[in-house]
Amino acid sequence: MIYIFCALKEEASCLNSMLNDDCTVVITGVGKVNAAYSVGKVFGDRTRFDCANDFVINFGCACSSNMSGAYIINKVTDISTNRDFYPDMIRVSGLNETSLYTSDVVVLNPDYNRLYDMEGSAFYESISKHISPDRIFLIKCVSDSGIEEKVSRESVITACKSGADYVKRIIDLYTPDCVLNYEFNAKSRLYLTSTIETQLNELTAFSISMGVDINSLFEDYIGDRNKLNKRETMEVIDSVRQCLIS
Amino acid sequence: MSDNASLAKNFSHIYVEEQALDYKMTRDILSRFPASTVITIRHYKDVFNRPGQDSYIQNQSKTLILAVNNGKKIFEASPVCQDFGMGKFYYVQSAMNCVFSCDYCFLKGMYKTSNVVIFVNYEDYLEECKLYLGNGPMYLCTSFDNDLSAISSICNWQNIWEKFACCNPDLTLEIRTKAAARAFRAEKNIIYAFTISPQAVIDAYEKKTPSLIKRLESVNKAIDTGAQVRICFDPMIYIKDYAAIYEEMFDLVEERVDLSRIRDFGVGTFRISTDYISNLRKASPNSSAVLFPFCKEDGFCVYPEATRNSLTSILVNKLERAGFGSKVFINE
Repeated sequence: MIYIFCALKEEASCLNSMLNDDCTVVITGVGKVNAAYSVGKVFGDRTRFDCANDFVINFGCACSSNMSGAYIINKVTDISTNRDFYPDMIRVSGLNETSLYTSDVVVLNPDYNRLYDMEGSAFYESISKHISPDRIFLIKCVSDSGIEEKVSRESVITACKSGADYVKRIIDLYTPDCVLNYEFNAKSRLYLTSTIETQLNELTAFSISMGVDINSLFEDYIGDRNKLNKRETMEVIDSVRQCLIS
Repeated sequence: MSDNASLAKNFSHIYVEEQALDYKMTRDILSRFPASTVITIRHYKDVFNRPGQDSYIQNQSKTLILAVNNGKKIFEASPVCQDFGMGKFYYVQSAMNCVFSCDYCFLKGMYKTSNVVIFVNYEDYLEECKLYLGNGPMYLCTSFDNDLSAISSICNWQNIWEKFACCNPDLTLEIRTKAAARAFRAEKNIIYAFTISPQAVIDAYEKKTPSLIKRLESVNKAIDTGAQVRICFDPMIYIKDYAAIYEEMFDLVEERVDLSRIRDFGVGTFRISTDYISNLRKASPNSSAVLFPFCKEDGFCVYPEATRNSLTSILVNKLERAGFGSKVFINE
């Protein structure tokens, strides 16, 4: 799945035309706490293994005194904790990159050449507990300069439209992994402890990598026996192992 | 998984520690990558040690990290490392990780990332080495957790160590590589150790490394230069029809290289700490080289004894028959 986290519905509305069945959009609300809460709410107890194929995007507006347009973020600094976070920049190239500073409060006097938002660091820190850094993307669009202008609904939408194409590029990169489901027919006839099952999984993975049909090997050694006891199971596994590495 | 064509090129991004920015080696390396994006960082571990990295995908698009090593730089070697009869065996960590991508490499088990770190404060390294040399002769392996020859086009670490060894006869340097290097020094205390594998093993498991023929050409170049040359048939990897494959490889080596001019030979089979095997299998998830059902002995994953003996005896017997038995070091 591709999860797109936006603080505001105006930001998310710019993506409507490019979403497909693989995409889920989450409106988090503004600020670090809301961003972290939403990530926790969506990913909950899911382990890295459960999320191994997901892409996660934080998309929204940001402010800068002199920058404009859209950026993909290669470094996030949390202003209050002074911690840095680094998404891997290996899946996409050719997009405008910059670093991002995440503030707890609205930034009114942004430093020159810096991009500020209010969610990025919390989003990264919480999502990185579930997703590898090469699958985390932050895309920020400059909506205001933080000095005189007041951020309006229109300025957010106009800015985010400029970054929608970046999101599209990432969506296009995503293709679900094909999961290899290996049917191991003889398993039910073996006596399985957790140790034996580990050995069995190891042998299965090795046989697949060697291009050997482990099913027929097991069938040969099990013969017409319906259910093996522990000793017989270990003998069969040993024989299969010997056969595989002989 | 995304199409690999969309992945950025190796070293499209270079992370540089703030404290490393002013070093000459940093400037030299960055000048070689004018198109790369440079990202300043506070400490290399902020990038290198991030949790949950996917080293499998990183391996297809490596990132470079330039850093200053303020900690220990020279370490005592592990007991599983072949010391070739030399005492006081140490290795130096001038860089971490390798630009090659061998499926079975222990670095993939040891580190949770495929990104490459190069330390740029070489003067500090030489100072630390001088301290060790104050206690007598030492044997120093420069390419333990990297392949310095393979990155010689990026940084001059190998050249720095070679020059240092030239001025310090008590230091014996081992420069281990799978690269097809062309420049060598004829010094008694610099040993160029070439890892030689059958082409079938290179094709299957040693991705991005030079071919067997290229490596042998490099061996010959080193011999012709008058350099000390070691050939390491280590690690020998289990592969289908391994006996025929390794015999054929040895015949080719014997045909192409004047083995009488080789200083010594290392022979050993694949082994890895049990602590590393899980990470290694994640990094090379489809490789039979690491999915092999290993035995666990004394904290190491090894081939079953019969397989080990069968593998090593192929080359040991060949070397003995060729009259080089006394030059063979077996890593058991």
